Amino acid sequence: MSGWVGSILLWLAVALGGRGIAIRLASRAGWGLGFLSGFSMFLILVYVAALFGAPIGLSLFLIMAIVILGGGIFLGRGVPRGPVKHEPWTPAEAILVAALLSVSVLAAVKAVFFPVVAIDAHAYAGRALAMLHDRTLNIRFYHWPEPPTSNSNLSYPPLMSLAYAVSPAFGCWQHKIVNVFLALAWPLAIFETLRPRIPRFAALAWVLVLGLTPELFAHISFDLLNLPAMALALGEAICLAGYLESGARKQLLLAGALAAGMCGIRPDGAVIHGALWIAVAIVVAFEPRLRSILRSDVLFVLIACLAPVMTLGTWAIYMHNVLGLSPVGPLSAGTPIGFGPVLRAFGYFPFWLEAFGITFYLFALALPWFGTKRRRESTGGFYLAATCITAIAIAMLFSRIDRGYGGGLGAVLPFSFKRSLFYLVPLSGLASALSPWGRALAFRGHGWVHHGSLDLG
Amino acid sequence: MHHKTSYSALLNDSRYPIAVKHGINGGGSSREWIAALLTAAALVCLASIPVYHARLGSAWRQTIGIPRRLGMSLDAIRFDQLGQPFGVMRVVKTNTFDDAVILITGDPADPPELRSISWCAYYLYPRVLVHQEVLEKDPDLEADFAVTTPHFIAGLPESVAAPKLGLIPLSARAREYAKTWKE
Repeated sequence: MSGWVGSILLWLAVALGGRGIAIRLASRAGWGLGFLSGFSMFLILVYVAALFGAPIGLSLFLIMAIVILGGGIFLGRGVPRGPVKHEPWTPAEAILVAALLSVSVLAAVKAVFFPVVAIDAHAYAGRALAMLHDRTLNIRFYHWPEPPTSNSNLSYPPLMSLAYAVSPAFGCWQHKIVNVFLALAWPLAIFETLRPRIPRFAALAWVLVLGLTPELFAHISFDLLNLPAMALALGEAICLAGYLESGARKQLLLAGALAAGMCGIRPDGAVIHGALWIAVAIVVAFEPRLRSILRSDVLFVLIACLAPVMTLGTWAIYMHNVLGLSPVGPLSAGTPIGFGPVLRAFGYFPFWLEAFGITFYLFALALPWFGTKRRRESTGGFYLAATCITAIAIAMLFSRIDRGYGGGLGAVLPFSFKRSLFYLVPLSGLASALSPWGRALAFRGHGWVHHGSLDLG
Repeated sequence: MHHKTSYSALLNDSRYPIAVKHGINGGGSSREWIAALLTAAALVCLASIPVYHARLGSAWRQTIGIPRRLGMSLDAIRFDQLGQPFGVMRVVKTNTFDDAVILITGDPADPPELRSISWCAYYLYPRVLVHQEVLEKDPDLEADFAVTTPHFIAGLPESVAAPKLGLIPLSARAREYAKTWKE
């Protein structure tokens, strides 16, 4: 039992510290973005320390958690915060809050109920146990009796396995305690992003719909990488949108930390990172005011763009120099999948109700409404651009994958490709919610919200 | 009539924010309860879509299953979830030494769990798991044990001992260790 308590306290400390750091770097940050920031920074610190030879184990986890907590308390001190407005709840909002609390309890139970179940999940959780056993990143799996192949999950950067190692380091069998925090943090980050821009009722409704997206909700049960990478991609997108909106360059540092975490969890995070920055470039191209801001912040932009070198880059170097392995990858110039099958999959999977429910249908409904009204802020436009560019990037990535990789087309598209669409769920949800269509409900009134809930600028 | 005129004037008056123009402030208690009713109805509709219903239903069943889980050991929880493949892993872990090299099945007819090195390694690390083809490629490598299955046992030479607990000792040190096995 003490193992469970220890793990929960460690992740709470990471959330508390992360929130302090996030508030310093992005003044509007709440607990959702705070946990994602702390989570990413904690994993980066543990990984870099292990890279330099620190033995992986409970002591390392505790030291880094204390560093994050202390850093957060130190940095979060004295940051001016706006007055807290206590707005009365309408009965409709109270119903949504009750539904969200119930879903949160179900999500928490989903995370901790099962032991490791999925066959591929055993690779990440098993790697966590192996790293704890050997106390190093260089576990025997890599060397003996054979080197890993491009099909091996063990060739991935190890950050999420380090997160899954926290629980067993405390003596607790349930790796997925961290999933409870992730499952609650990303919807909370969505709410924190939407709340200043749309009425509370609408923000709650969007959080509920996105949080219940079937495939994502199911993945709370798994020791896999898709959900955490998606959550950190969302965090990076929120920081980039915040930077475009406010011009506060410190948000770029937070965006970089989240991008480094994402790329240290899944290598395809580098593609998503690139797509988000292309979306930034598109928004900047349409808003001349932003060009001069971007020029003056060029150092911060470079740091944020190159942050994944800290994790994915160093892992590639470590694999090459220490493990003696060439970086493995699924991309091939010889027999790639090509655009045809990927585009057909794009026509099918986002609108396959079984996987994504109504989430992408809502985005499709919102899409025509963009451009019907001149926008006063760049946030909605950024999320729209980010969704479209990320979708194109995913299509390009999968079209380049070797036909023989990972069990072939019949396995890659229904599994890897479908899960890569996770990245699009929060981005498309934010774009939909900030479209004129997404705001329509609030403008009708009739008891959905109190007038204090509106902040229309 | 009077209400219509006032509302129209309000809409055209730039001094008032749009929220006030659309009558959102307050709403009146009856409007609020109608909104609440519609919200509840929308939630019921969402939860009635089969895929949402299934996901929420399974999460609910897990929630009410928590008291039963609390009374179970970890091995029992795993066996409950994973079935016989976990039973095999438990037997192998109990009856082999930590640095053993263990031969596992690669036969497609066997359960995918028992064929997967990463699945087996999760329960057996730091024991090393190999497939038959690795042994063939590296003649110097000797397996200590083999995990037997109905399909995999057929490929072993007849000279090896009869399977015991789904596990056969192959190397000399494994055969020595097997003497400590309990019947």
